[in-house]
Parts: sequence; structure tokens; C-alpha cells
Amino acid sequence: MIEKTILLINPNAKFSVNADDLDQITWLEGTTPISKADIEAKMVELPTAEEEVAQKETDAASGKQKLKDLGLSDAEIKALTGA
Amino acid sequence: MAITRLGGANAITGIIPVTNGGTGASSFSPGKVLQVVQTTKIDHFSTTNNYASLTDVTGLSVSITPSSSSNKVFVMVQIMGSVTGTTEFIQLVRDSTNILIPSGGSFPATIANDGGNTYPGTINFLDTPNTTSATTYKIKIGAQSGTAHVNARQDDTTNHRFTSTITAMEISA
Repeated sequence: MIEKTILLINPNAKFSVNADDLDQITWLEGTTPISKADIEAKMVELPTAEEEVAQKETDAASGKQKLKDLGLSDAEIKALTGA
Repeated sequence: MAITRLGGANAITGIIPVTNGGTGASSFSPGKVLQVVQTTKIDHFSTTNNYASLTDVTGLSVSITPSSSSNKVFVMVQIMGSVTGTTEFIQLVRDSTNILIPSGGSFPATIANDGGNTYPGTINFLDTPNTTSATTYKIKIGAQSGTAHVNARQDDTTNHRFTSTITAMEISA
């Protein structure tokens, strides 16, 4: 979550994060540090892990239905997508 | 039922022949493993640093002090990794020196991106540190592209967690 947030703010940032701890971020290769406050403020804009899982399931179901609407059989969809 | 008690006057001494179920040996060399130290990392680590300048994995190191400079150290690493880009590279380091470098460069172990899954990277190496000073073995990683993770699946670092270990054994020469 922290790394995704940092990359939203600065896609070119070089850093490491340990233990998902905002106090254990190491900024690398001259990357300008981003403040904890800025990271925390951006973090609330990201979906939670549960929301991401739910969105993936929704996308999978929606995609499968669209393929069915195009006339593909379940077997053909499984062969293409593995699901 | 008669019970024979071994010990005291009945103690067995000398060489037990193989034909009598013994080994035939008159002496035994002492054990070869003199000490074992291990560190287990249970939390998540990630870095966007690439393979050109690897990054220490915090909490995945072990320190061992050989009792003789002629002794060897057997290092075993299992690191659970994933990467958002193409490949996560893994380097074994003794103090500040990269060791176990393959011919032609590159790294002793890698983990490729396979649908976001987490895989073990394994290193087993019998090192010859030639010292009786405290010696630290650690792991550095870097990504060919994207973000390299340790102990978590790259597309769900919250719910898919793992552990990594580094073990060092001092082996008598």
C-alpha cells in the first residue's frame, strides 16, 4: 500500500519500505523524500485490499459476460482466460 | 524373564565388530557443524530500486563468528519474492562484498514475475570467509523493472504474506 501510494505521487521514486511502516522508508538514488503527511493524505484515495479484490471479481464476471454476449461458449472462454 | 543390565562391570568396551552389529570403528571424528544461527523475516519489504544498485533487505541478515579461520560457513537462504515488473534479482553478500557471482556476472538467484505470484528464491553456498571475526551475511535485492517485494504477493501485499529465512552454519575444516 505504501509503495503504491508513493508511486502515485512520484512514479519515478526510488525507495524501499520495511514492515509497511511509514517510519521505515529509505529514499534511494537521490529521490526527494515525500513527507509522511503527504503519503497518508494520498493513501486514503487508494482502494483497500478488500475493495481491490471485489473489483477484480467484478471485472472478471463482467468480462466473462461480455465474451458470452459475443457468442463464445463457456469452454471457449475457459480456454482463453483459464477461468 | 532374565534382564541383563549393561553398565558397570558389564559395560561394553573396545571395538564392536561389524559381524556383531557394530561399526568396526575404533574412534569417531567429532561433529562437523560447530554452530548454527538463523534469522527469520516475517514482515513485508519492498523496493523500487533496480538491479544496478541493489538494496539491503531489512531484517534478512545473520551474523556468525567462526572459531577458526580455516573453517567454512554454509549459508542457506530462502527468500519469498514477487515483482510487479519482470524479474527480482537476489544477491548474497558477506559483510559488504557480493559473493557467489556467476560467470559472466548477473546474480545467484532470481524470481520471475508469473501472474503476480510469490515464489521462493533459494541460495545454498559453502563459503570460506577466512576469518575469526564476526561475519555478516545478508541479502540484497533489486528489480529489473517495477517494484520488488519480499514476503508478499505483489498484487495483494495485505492478504498474501510469507516468511523468509537466512541460516549460517560454521563447518569444521
